Amino acid sequence: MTSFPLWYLLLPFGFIFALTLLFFFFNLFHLNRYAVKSPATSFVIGVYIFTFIGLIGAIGFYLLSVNWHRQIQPSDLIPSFQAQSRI
Amino acid sequence: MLCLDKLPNSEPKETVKLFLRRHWIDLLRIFVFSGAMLLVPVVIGVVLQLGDVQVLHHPLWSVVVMLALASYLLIVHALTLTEITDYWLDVWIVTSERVINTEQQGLFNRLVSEVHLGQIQDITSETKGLLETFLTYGDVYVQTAAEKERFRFKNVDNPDDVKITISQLVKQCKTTHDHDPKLISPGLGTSPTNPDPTAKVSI
Repeated sequence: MTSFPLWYLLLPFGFIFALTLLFFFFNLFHLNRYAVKSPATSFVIGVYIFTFIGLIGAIGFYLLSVNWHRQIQPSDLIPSFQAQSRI
Repeated sequence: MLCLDKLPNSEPKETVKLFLRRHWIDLLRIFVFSGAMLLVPVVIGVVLQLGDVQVLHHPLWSVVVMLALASYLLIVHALTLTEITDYWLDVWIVTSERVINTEQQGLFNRLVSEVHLGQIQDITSETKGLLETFLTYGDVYVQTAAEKERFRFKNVDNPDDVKITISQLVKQCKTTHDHDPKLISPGLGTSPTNPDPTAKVSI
């Protein structure tokens, strides 16, 4: 088995992220279209946006810290959870 | 957005008397469930830590674990938002003329229905269970003469008071329509209290 770049792992994650993004916009659309106009509704929409952006920001902060071009060797697939240097 | 001051198909002098949502206990249940789901990775982390499994030090599996955690958090967030949206969009509006039932049933299913107060024949409030009794919330059922199933106000606050209010509004509405023949829809020829179809009504 040949080595593969680490960014391959981003593909399934990207799929899940795309789905949750769809859910987010779907919920936002429904609130904007069907909810009763009130300060409480505006607050709920604000919380939606704030928490989603916060979560995306935290995930993005981690993703930026990883070297995704690193090649993964077959030997790396064997879980040996000893203290090793991080990427 | 729906504006309470300008409801669709509103009649002159129609005012909103009740605006109801589900009881806050339903919202609390959503947050408790989401909190429990967020505890799962914490528990797994603690168990791994106790077993001295240094997964976060592995060059590959640390990334796999972190991406799995990120995916899990995104999914929990999406599910929580969807449940809150479902809660927020379930509203029941009682005006001086009609009852409007708006329910979000799942992701792609929305039910909006309304009934004129004059068509209501039965109103029932139901409080069932220990929590419902102490927090005074329950269901209110509004039944018309139609074959359609009755409206159900789910888990509303103070269902007894809601029932009393709707009963009073129904009584007022029927009294108003009896005294003002112009309010009777043309073609029906009857008032709610006079079922005789041959009775003449001047409009």
